[in-house]
Amino acid sequence: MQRYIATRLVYSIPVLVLVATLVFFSLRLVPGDVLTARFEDDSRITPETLEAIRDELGINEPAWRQYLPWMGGAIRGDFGDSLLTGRPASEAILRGLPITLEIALWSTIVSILIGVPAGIVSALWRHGVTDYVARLVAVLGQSVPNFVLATLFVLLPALWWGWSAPIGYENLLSAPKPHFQQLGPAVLVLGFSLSASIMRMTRSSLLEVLSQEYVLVARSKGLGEAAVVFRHALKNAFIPVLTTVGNQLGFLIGGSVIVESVFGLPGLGQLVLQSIQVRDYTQVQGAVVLIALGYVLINLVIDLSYGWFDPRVRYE
Amino acid sequence: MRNEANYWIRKRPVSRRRFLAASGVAAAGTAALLAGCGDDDETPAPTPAATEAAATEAAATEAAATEAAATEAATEAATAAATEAAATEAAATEAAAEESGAPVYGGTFRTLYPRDAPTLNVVKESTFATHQPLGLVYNRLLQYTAGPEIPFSSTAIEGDLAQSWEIGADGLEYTFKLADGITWQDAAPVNGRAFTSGDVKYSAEFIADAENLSPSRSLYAAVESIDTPDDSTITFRLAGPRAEFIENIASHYALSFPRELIDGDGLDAAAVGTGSFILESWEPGVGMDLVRNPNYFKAGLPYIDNVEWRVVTDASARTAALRGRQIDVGPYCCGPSLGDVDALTAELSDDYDFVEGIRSNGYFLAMRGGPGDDPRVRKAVSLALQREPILANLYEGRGVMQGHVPHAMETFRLPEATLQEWYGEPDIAAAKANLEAAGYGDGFDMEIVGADNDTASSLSVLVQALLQELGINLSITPVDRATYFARLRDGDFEMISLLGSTSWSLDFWLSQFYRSDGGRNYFNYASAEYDALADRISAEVDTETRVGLSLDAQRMLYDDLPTIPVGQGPQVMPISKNLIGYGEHWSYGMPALEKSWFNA
Repeated sequence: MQRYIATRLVYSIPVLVLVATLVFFSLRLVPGDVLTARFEDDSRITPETLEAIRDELGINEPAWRQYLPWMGGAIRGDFGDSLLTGRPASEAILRGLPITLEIALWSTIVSILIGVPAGIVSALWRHGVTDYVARLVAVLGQSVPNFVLATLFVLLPALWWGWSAPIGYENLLSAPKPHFQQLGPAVLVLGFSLSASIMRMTRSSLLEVLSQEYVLVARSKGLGEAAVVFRHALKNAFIPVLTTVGNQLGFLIGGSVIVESVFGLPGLGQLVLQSIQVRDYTQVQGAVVLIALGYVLINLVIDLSYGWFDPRVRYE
Repeated sequence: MRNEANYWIRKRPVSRRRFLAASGVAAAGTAALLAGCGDDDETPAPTPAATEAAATEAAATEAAATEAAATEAATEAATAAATEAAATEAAATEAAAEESGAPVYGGTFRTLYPRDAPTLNVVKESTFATHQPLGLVYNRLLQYTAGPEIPFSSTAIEGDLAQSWEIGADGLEYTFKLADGITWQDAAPVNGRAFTSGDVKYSAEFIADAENLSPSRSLYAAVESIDTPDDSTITFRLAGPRAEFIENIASHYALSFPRELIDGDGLDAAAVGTGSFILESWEPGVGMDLVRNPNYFKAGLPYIDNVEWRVVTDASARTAALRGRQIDVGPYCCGPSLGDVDALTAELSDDYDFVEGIRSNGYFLAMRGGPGDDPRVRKAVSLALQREPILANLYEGRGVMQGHVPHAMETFRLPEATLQEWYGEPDIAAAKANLEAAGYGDGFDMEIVGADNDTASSLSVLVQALLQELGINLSITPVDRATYFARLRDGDFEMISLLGSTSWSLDFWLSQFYRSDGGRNYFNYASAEYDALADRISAEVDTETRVGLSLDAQRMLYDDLPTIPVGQGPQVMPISKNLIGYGEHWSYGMPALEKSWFNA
């Protein structure tokens, strides 16, 4: 297994380099730079001053000449300084990452708590009222965009009850109640949205497993339905579900950009969005490479967990 | 459409006693002005200690101002502004105190803004996100007067660090006397040391130094030398007359900061000033927390204990926070969307006053290259615009027409009749005749670049529809904010919807946009005659003469139309009814907050 892990990690290096390179050059194709975004049309700053600051920041250099030193630094874990704040890009990333991770974790838990039971119920009572209701809700969850749900979560309580989540962001340890009030709506929105695909995957996978011969054998032996489903069928049906959960977790690590922005949560998604808006190249590059790394690692962990669900899986 | 009397309407009934008090003080101020011996005293804050301090200040400044009044017209202008400020502020404070009783200490002021401060560096940054909250941490020699009864657009100036000032007989020497007992905040690296005129000099020279790349350098462009004859006096010597030097000194960018910060870790991540609030923490992406400065040199002030400045990027979340009564003023910068204002007013009128003020940054259309280089084409476009319905659409019925000087600048703007005559009614026949004369009788195709905001988008669509009648086919290119400013600065447009600025400086409007070397002359307007006129306006210290020159300049701009004025709109700012003594003002730094308090 160690060899398998090592191989996977080695294979991930070109992926990360490719991601970093694409982001590096594509950002520079977009009109404007950090100074036009920062000073906008402030005419007190002269073109000469702007050029002097560009020289100081190094963004007047040709892109390829900026690329090599940056890539050299990134390989050593140094993503450079934010062009906007002058602080190391990693500082803002490490500030946003725990918030995004926490949102991702809670959202995944919520999506599993909703999606898996709904999928099981839907599969067991196939073509019944419960199945149709669950599938309808799943279609809604998949088709309504996150930002619509998020905006409704923000607007409706404010309109109906004059209530809104505490503004800003409070730390879990210092102020747990406002912390959960701030995170709660985002977690519910993301959890509900993601639960739809988990529900559908659980349902279809379980239906497939339930039609297998070993399930028929288990039932013939006189095992109770609960034992058949939960001890034998569900574990085997869970591998595709796990893959779905893994992909979603990877997506969440990337930061649910719009949801974080709507709820004012200073996570990685919001950082990336704002950094793109102000053309803070180094900040975006650092964050995207980290997100890609997170995605690679999560997929690796998910792959490794298959063995726990299905001992027949071998890592070679 | 609103008239000028409605620029600033606090929707709260004014009692007869309050009105009389305000009128009385204002009348006294006017009388003093007419007598030519105005003073530039601070309005006494409504506490015994503050009253005493202010009375002492008043006596000192009266002497200074009287002496100054005997010299020059320039001095009269300064004292007139000070008198106006003092009178209006006194009336406002008295009225507020009468209404709500004695000020109460304590409470937390909460507000929010869509963007975070990139850094805390008040020298390097020009954004509202840095300067609005940090205006509470730092002071300047002079500041614009703000308060509940003072119009948002007021340009009255009062002392901040300076308790008095005078202008030399030649109009080139400006001497400021610092208030007594100013100390830096009790925080590292200054730890409460005394503030001196040397600190003002250091800050001004640092900003003016080209090596420090400050966008605010031009504030001191006219300064030849700075002297500090003693610890409480500072004199600026100008190379030539400059009409707006006092306004430059009162700019929210002309802050004093300690040299220890520069010598140490710099201004990027730390802010320690002399101001009413101390920066306790700044968490990027979340916001700033400030606490009351117990050693503030303005005795008894501030009343509020804490300020929470939060970042909320989403507009609907900001409005929800207002609906949840989680903020006292805001959201910044400009209040809720005008489309939401009526509903919010109906919903929240028990808890908030909705205060309306005309902003200076209206919309223009600018053209560059191709047909737009011909002034007859620009004239045709201007003549085809139906401004009243455009403004009704853009600003929910709250917009006003403007010329090349914002309508909010009452002293220098075009008279209403002229405005109507020049820009009031569309004239399609004349527009077609101009196009014909320019050789574009069959019309032409053109791109209009608009920023990605609702107002700019609506403007583009309306202009597109209106110009079809002339055969001008506009294709609209909406772009994100950074791209918009990149294309604007690069002159990469045929037509662009150009948002003016929040500036209240005549020099800014007439020189920055239209001088051939102006920083905002993105449309390559070049007229030697206009440049000479703009220079005269910059140097002219007599207000009456300056008004005349300003009208001459606006006439030239009307003839040439380097930009085509459309109009400007208001902001409607919700202010909690619990917050007493507060008033919104265009200058950054919430200057009224240090004198505000919460109802018990």
